[in-house]
Amino acid sequence: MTRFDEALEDLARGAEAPMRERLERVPVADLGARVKRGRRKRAAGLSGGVVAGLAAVVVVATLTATAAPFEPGSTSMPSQDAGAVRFDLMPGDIYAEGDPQIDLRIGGRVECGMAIDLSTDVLVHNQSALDRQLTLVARPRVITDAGDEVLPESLRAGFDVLQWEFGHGESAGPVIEWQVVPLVLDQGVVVGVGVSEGGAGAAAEGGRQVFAGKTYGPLPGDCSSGGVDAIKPVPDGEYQHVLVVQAMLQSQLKPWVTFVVPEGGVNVDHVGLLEYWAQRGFEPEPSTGIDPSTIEHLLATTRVPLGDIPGGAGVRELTGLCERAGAALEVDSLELVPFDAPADRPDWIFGPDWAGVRGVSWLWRERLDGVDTPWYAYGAGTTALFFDASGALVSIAAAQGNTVGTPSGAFIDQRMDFAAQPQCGITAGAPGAAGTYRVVVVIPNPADAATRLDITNVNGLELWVDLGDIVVD
Amino acid sequence: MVSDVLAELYSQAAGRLGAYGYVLTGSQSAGEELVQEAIVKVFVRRRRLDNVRMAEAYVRTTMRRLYIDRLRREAVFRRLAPAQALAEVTPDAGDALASADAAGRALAQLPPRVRAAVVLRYLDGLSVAEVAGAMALSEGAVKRYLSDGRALLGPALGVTDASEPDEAVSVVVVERRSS
Repeated sequence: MTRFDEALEDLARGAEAPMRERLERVPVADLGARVKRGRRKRAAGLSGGVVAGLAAVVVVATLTATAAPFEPGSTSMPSQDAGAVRFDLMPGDIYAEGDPQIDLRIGGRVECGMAIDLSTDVLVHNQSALDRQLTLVARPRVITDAGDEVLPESLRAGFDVLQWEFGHGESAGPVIEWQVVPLVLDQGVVVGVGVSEGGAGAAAEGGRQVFAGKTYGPLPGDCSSGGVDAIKPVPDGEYQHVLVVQAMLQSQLKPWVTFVVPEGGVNVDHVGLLEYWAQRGFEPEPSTGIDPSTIEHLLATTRVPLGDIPGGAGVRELTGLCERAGAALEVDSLELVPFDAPADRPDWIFGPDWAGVRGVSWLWRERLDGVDTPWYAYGAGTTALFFDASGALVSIAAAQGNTVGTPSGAFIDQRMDFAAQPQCGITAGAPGAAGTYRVVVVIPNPADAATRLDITNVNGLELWVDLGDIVVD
Repeated sequence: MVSDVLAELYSQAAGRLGAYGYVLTGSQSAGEELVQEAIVKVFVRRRRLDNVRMAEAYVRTTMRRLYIDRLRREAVFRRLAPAQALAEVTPDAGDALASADAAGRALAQLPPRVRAAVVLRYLDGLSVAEVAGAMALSEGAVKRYLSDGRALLGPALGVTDASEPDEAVSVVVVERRSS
């Protein structure tokens, strides 16, 4: 009986020859050059692909036209699909001809720091490509944080993503391979390389095979083949995103044709996140604790007036706080602890350096529509503020400070259940109006009856809680 | 000299390293990239690499670490920003091995963590505890991955018994010399 480990070793042994052949396509000198560049980077104390890439040996990939420009008739912008670029290579077309300086298939991969002139839309490397009537349709679009799809004009790094949709086809014949890579350029220098994808067409006899796919555009500074750590901040500015597509025959050594689809230049805004934070009234810097002076400041403010809340840890009775008391939560414990983001929540927000989670907002907010026992958590860096408390909602609308609801329970196991409907007090009261609400924490303090702490504004703890509009039926 | 050892490594061990990369990633292209990335990483640091065997061991270990790190990062990235997460590695046009036979297809279709656990356990000969340590997983999780891996890959490899093979036994041979 064959052992599993032996069978796996056999599988690996069987892969040695083809992998050796594949690796040998890449000249050792190329690897040596990468090693030397890496050493220079280390010596200079630099890391990341962008800066070092710019200092590295500039490889000029000449995709400039060396022959007649592409016929206008062979490139069109279909009106039915705004923003899409379509290439149809037909027999007899005049084409721009040149040797490929980029080969997406093997070792000639594009790297950050390369200076590339991709001004030519189509560069045909082999005239027989025209006979196969190659077709490429590609469309860039920005998917905004809100989920809208818009044509690329601006991109808020950290929120929006650039996505390419593409499809290609060819007439029947030998199998054609297609390789696709999205790039981002800054004045002709590659500053971002996306995930290279490939596939092989299999044209049916007499028909046209059409392949469709999607790929995400990289952000400036995304220079590795897969590591988040390679994403480095790059200044705001206008960058050129392009989708480079190559078609080739397996039997031939060089690509048939290179297509370059430009999106037209996207203004990448890397401070969108900061603005986003600013709009919501807190700083993006992570904090590992609560600044006591902030608490003192909050104590001095009358923004959220508190009523006469009995002090001590034994506070439980909140009835009657509706009368402009504005009191909120009684905190039994408060601590910053390591926090794992909920696996199924996409609402996490990255910091401007992409180093990690900086904060989170409106978790489970949607569940507040109709108020169906929502709960939420707060993140600050990789820690979160957890507290056990009972509490209430405090309106920040026109009737500031009014308590419009009290919780039906407390923070239990980092969870808080609000009342099914905002109510004034535990037992009775007029329902609160639809509006935006804040959570205020009241820390029992024997010396001061109650220390109140607006957790939505605590020295950069990023504890914004936008509860959204609570719908009161 | 960088080029001397590098060239020697490439000529003597490229196939083995490439095959390891292929089995680890399930993709020829990803395996190839992993080999190159690891080589660059190892040689950039100016380690004292006296011979090819040592260099190969370094590169192989670095490949493993890079791949596990990548899995970990991508898992976090997918969880936190799925819209910006990188696409799963897919076999490229030249990935003949991945589609050549049932074993290649099964390997390519293994979930990355399962594949990594299987490779570390059965190709690298690590114990379950060592695999758990390398992948920052519990031993229970590793055992589950190994079980899944054997069930998914075993039939394609012609192994019908999906039970855990015997733990590898390290034998230390001490050469005795008579004085």
